Amino acid sequence: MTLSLLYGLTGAALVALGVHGVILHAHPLRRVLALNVAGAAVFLLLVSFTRRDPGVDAVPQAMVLTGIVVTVAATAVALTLARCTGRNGRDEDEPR
Amino acid sequence: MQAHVVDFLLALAMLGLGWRIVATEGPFRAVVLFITFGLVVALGWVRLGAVDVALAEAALGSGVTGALLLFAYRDLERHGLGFERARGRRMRLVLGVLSAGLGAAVAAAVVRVQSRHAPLAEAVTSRIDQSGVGNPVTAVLLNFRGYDTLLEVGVLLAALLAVFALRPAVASGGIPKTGDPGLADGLVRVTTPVAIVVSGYLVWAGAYVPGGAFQAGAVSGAMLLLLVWTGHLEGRGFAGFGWRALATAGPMVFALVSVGTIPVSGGLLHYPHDAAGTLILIIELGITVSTAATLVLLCTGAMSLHRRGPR
Repeated sequence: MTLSLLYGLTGAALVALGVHGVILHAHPLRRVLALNVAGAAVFLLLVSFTRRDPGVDAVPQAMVLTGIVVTVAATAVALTLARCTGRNGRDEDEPR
Repeated sequence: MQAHVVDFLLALAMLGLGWRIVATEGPFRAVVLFITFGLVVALGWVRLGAVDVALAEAALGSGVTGALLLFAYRDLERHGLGFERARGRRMRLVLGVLSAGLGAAVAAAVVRVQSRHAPLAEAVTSRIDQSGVGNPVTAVLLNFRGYDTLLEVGVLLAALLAVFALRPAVASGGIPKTGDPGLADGLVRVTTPVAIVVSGYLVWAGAYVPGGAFQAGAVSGAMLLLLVWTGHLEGRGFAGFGWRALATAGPMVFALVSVGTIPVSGGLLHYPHDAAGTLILIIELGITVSTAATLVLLCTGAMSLHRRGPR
């Protein structure tokens, strides 16, 4: 089995797990976590799609690097939003 | 390259941790598992030969994201926000089947594209001499596809603006710090100078070997956060002019260089060949400073950090 196939298949399974978690959980922190798992998996997929011996293509590597930075920024905004909306939306959303 | 037994172990660890992050009880445990997950994924990147990405994953994906999550966790718990909701058995079954289907479809795509040709690698290799740097990833980030990176620092700035704007709505109870720093205090005395050196090295070496501005900025930012946690720095008030200037230094320098070189080279983000290396280093230094400042501000909810005075 080649490296790119192994990590590609791992990425496929993790995408499924991440998306599953986003829908399954109600806790904002758990959702952000699951989304981050799915994000890491997408990066694995992107590199696995383009990796050929002797090494990794620099363009997808740069894209993934950009992606990681953007993910951190988006995570920060999502968590800040969770701290605000949690406070206001709690009453409607709370299970009875 | 064929997968080694280490790769199978790493893949298993990723899957196991990914599963536990989604399935475990309670958000705190999930956060800790996620930080571990990030480090395992970083090892996977090393195995795939993407060392630049591995550094970014360890520093940003695992480290800084972990800090963000812990800050948010503390705040959500303290104010009693966020709750777990149990889904019905039928709902969980349907969801499980759908997610498994998604995974299978993506896996089929992975198998299909394995034999395709990737032409961009050759394009980068053949022009690396013109880029001013020796590391192909840095060449793509700051020269060949500099536009992406310019917008990327713009995204960081936009995220910071969003946090600035939301700040009044977030009742933040200040920045958490350990009650008794104890061991952590001694650790920080060692890690702070090391972090400064590592950060400088990552920026400088990024031109030739894996490393670069974002990784270096994340290391500096993490160092500042550790100083906050151990009580050497404390957050007081809204980030003032100094912090805002640091956070915007990267985008400003990048924009100035890209516009300033137009008369010489005739296009946005086209650097003159002989000056490309120097210009890239200047941009990288700017990005390092602003990445560090932005990450600290994002984690602390845009608080200004001050040296802790004697009480």
